[in-house]
Amino acid sequence: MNGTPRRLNRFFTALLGLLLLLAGVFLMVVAVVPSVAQAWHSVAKEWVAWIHRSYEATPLLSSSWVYLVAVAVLLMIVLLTVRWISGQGQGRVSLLMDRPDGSPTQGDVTISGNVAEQMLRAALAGRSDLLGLSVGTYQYRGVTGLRVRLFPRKGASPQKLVREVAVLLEGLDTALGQHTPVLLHLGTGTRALFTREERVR
Amino acid sequence: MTVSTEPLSAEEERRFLDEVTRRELTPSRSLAALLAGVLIILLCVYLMLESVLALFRLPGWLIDPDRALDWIASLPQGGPAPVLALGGAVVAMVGLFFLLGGLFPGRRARHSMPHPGLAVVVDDEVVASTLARRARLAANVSSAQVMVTVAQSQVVVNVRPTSGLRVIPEAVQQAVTDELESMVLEPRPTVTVNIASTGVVGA
Repeated sequence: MNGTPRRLNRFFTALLGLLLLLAGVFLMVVAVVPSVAQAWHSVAKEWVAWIHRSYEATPLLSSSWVYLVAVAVLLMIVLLTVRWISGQGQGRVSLLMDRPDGSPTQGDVTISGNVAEQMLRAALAGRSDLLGLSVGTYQYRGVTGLRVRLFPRKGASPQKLVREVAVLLEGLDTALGQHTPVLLHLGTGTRALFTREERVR
Repeated sequence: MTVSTEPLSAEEERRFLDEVTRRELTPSRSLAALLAGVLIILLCVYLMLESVLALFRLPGWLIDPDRALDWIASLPQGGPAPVLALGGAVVAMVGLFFLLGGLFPGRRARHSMPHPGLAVVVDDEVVASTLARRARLAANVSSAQVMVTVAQSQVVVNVRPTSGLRVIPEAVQQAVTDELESMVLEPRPTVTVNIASTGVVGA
């Protein structure tokens, strides 16, 4: 439910992968096949000559401002990459409800995501088929929703848990006076790995 | 990002939940992205360093751009051919890892459980432990004698019977299938039951 930019992730990892693959294959082929190496030499000689000409056409500080441009471009790439990486896993928010309620009274009512967590914890406290739960409030595509992670004891019936937690969530909606989209995830935490009941998974 | 002030319509919410479910069932590729990002940043910072050194006519730290260009242009002469080929192979393998991770969406070991008002996903391990319990009760063996593996479209139940006691495969099959039917997993796996030919003594 978080805002990890998955399309960007896939696009840029694929792009980097493709570039590395091409470079690697080129290196292998050039090292192994002599005729390709010959062809590469004649092509590369012209390219190097062209690059040297463009150095001399762009003088700066007894060097060339091509390097200055290179630094600027590289810096840009670094900044964009940092921005891309820092977007991973974002989208967690603390408020479950935060909107103008349209009443003539001044001020707005906000409800923290912890309220939902505490209510669910209290409601599920006595269950023997549940080892634990975690509740997070997330914002994805401008919609605020809950991610409820349940860690059932081994062998517990998932469909029964889902049915009963769904009823609790309806109660939560009634109590908060607002409907919240919920992602319910039944998973295995580290605790479930070390508890008895069903030794074989 | 702004908070939506309007509550979602039922249709919009369903679409939202389906989208969330789809995202939960596929990996986010954030680890590959992180590795790729670090690689790109390190490479760029190094190139920046060499560019600045070259700008002030200082000797390069590892190799200055001029000599680097000459090295690339005269490539197979830059080092022993086997080392170059091996280096190329390593770079190509790393590239292939990133390329495949980017091209294919992949999937997590999870199933979704369609529900009218929620987005529900279940880890395959949870499903396996439930099925193992049902299979154990149906076969009347101890829990160490049952092993269940759950894949996307297949459930395999392996039972080792207690020596001298017969396990009826149909009963195990029926029990596991019943349990699976009541879970309504999406996509729905098929059940295969294997009864081992050797028994366990004293279980």
